[in-house]
Amino acid sequence: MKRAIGLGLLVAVFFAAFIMAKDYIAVSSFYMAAAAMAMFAVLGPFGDYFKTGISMIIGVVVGLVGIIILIAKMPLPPDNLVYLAAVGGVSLFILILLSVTGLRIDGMFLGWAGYFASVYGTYTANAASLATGAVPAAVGVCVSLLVGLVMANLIIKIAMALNN
Amino acid sequence: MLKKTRLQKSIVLLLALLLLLAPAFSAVGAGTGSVEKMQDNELVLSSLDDSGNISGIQVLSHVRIFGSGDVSVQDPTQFKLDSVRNLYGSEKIAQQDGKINYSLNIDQSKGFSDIYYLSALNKEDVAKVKIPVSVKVTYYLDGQQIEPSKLAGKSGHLKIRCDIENLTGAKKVLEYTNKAGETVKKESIVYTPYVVAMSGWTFDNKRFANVQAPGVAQESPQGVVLDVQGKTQVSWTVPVIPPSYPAKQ
Repeated sequence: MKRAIGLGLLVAVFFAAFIMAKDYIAVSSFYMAAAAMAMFAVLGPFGDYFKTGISMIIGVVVGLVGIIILIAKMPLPPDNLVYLAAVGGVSLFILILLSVTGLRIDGMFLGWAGYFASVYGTYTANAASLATGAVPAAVGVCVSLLVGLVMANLIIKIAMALNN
Repeated sequence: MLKKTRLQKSIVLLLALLLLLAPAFSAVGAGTGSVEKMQDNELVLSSLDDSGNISGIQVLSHVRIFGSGDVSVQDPTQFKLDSVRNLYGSEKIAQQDGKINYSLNIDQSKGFSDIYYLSALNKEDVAKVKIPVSVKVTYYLDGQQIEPSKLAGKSGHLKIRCDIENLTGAKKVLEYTNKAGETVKKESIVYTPYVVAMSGWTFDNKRFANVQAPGVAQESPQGVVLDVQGKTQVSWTVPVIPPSYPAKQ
């Protein structure tokens, strides 16, 4: 029980520290780390964390490519819903195709959705700023997802400590 | 029987699609539009380097065409362009022989259609552009002139000086009737009136204190200083309209 409380406090402090640092990693969606944590926690103690992590990064990369195409080649908001839907549809289709290689589709979807959640507000309000901000945002999202992975490991350790 | 039902369904679907797409096909195929009038608003965006020299120019054009049907537009350009980008539409914009060419389908319900495009001037041609107002920014740290790139990490009394000049002055012969009813001719320098709005100067209160924006007596107005959410914002509105206000401030 003591071990579980200790690890729980560690997770809480770690997550709070991550929120404090949100301005330095070019992403304000720290809640993404919580979503990633939930995803990894579901995998359980013997889950394939490495493959899931790689899948998330692939999802982020596909999202980044999609947003670059939207900014550079497609009409800009507000009247571009058809193009947004087309890029979104094609992106998800690519993710499904990539899942044939053994990558986890849930991880890729979370990475893609996390990246779009992070940049979509900027895209609609000031698309030009993404010319310099798209890649840092992708790095920030990857960091968030990685933080989720670390915290999920700690949470699983808590669960195992409680079971023991 | 099953095959026949599928065939009927397919034919019905095809007919429905044809009905839906017919107006679009006819509009594209028409190509015989008429233009009643055009409005062209252009916003010139000049990027300046640290010392106020122009490093790049972009022109945001908003063209509104009144009329009907499909119309082709040729917009002559004075300078070479590196790129032209249609911002909010899917119409193809091409540049050829010093002209920007595009076709537009006029929205019948509104009676007009808009197109917005952003053109970037060729780097070599940027030097040829004569901007109407020059801006020169000079930085001083503790009374010594310093390049802005060398300011990071240093502390002291920072002064930023902005010199603005209306460059449109040209000698013209003015003809007017005086009080005696005589027609008088007089040569004078005439300027295009401009008001320069300088904004976006933001100073973080953690790093800057006692921010002031004074003007120069009898020459230029003082700026507006706003302290909002831990940041001090400074802005100026400077009329450069001789003879009421100096051309150079």
